[in-house]
Amino acid sequence: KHLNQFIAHSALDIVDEAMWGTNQMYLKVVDRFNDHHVSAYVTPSGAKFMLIHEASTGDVRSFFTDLHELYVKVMMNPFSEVNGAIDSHQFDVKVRGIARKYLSG
Amino acid sequence: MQGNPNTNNRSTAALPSGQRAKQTGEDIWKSRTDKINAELFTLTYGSLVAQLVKDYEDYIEVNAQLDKMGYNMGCRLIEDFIAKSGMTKCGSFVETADVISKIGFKMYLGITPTITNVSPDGKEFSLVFEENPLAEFVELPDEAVRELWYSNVLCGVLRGALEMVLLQVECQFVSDVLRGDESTEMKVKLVKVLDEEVPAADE
Repeated sequence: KHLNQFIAHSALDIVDEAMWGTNQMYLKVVDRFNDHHVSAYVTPSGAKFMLIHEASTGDVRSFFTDLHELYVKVMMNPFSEVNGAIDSHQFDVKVRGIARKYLSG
Repeated sequence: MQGNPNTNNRSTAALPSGQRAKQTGEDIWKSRTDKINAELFTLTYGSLVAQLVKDYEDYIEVNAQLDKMGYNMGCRLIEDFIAKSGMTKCGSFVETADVISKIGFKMYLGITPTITNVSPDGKEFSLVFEENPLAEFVELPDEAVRELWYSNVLCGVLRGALEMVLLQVECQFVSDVLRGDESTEMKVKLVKVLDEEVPAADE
C-alpha cells in the first residue's frame, strides 16, 4: 500500500513527457509496475490526475472527465488556493462517489 | 410601449399589487438591464471577499467592511432603481418588502427572494433566498464558517438604498447555507421613518 505514492510520483515524469505528444487530455495507461497500472489525465491548466489501478478496472476515461468537472468546481471557490492541497470534505465524498460509479475495484 | 394590452406598468397611479410588482420586475429584467456573465460576477465577488479576509484576518471586521461597501453601493443604486422602475411611494413597509424582492432583487440579481416572517406590526420581515448568485461554488474555510456572513454586502445595499428613501432599517443575515444552515435568510427591521420629507404632490 505504501508503494502507491512512490509509484504515482515516479510515473509523473512519464506523464510530463507523454502530455506533449498528444492534444488529448486523457493519456490512458502511462506506466506499469508489476500488476499496477497508472493512468493519467492532464488538464489544460497543467493539473495532473493520476490513478493507480489493476488492469480490469472499468471506465477510467469517464471517471477522469467527471473528476475534472469536480476539480473545476473546487477551483471556482474563492477561498481555495490554486496550487494548494484540496481539503474539502465535500470534494472527497464526491470523488468516492464517482469512483464507485465508474470503477469496479 | 410594446402594444401588449395586458401590461400597463407605469401609466396608472395605483400602487402595484403583488402581481403587478412581479410583472414590472420581470419586464425590466428582460428588456432594460444589461447582463453580465454569471461566472465573472461570482468570481469577482468571491475574490473580493477572499481578499478582504486576507487583509483583515478578522471575520467580524470583514462583515463590517462588506456592510460598509454595500451601504455606499446602495446609496447610489437607489437612483438607478427609481429611474429604471419608475416606482412611486409605497403605502406600507410590507409593500416596500414586496417591491424590494420582486423588482429590486429581480432587476439586479435576477432572483426573487421570498418574503416571510412578517411581524404583526409590519415593521419587520425576512427575505429567504433560494438561490444566491454571489455564492455559487463557494465553500467557506473552517474558521470562517462560524463568523463570516459571505453575502453581507446585500445587507449594506438594502440599508443604504432604503435610507435614501427615508427609511432607516437594520439588516442582518440570520442563516446562510454556506454555513451549513438550511436556508439563507436576511432579517430586515424598520427602525424609523426619517423626516425631511417632501410634501406629497396632492396639495
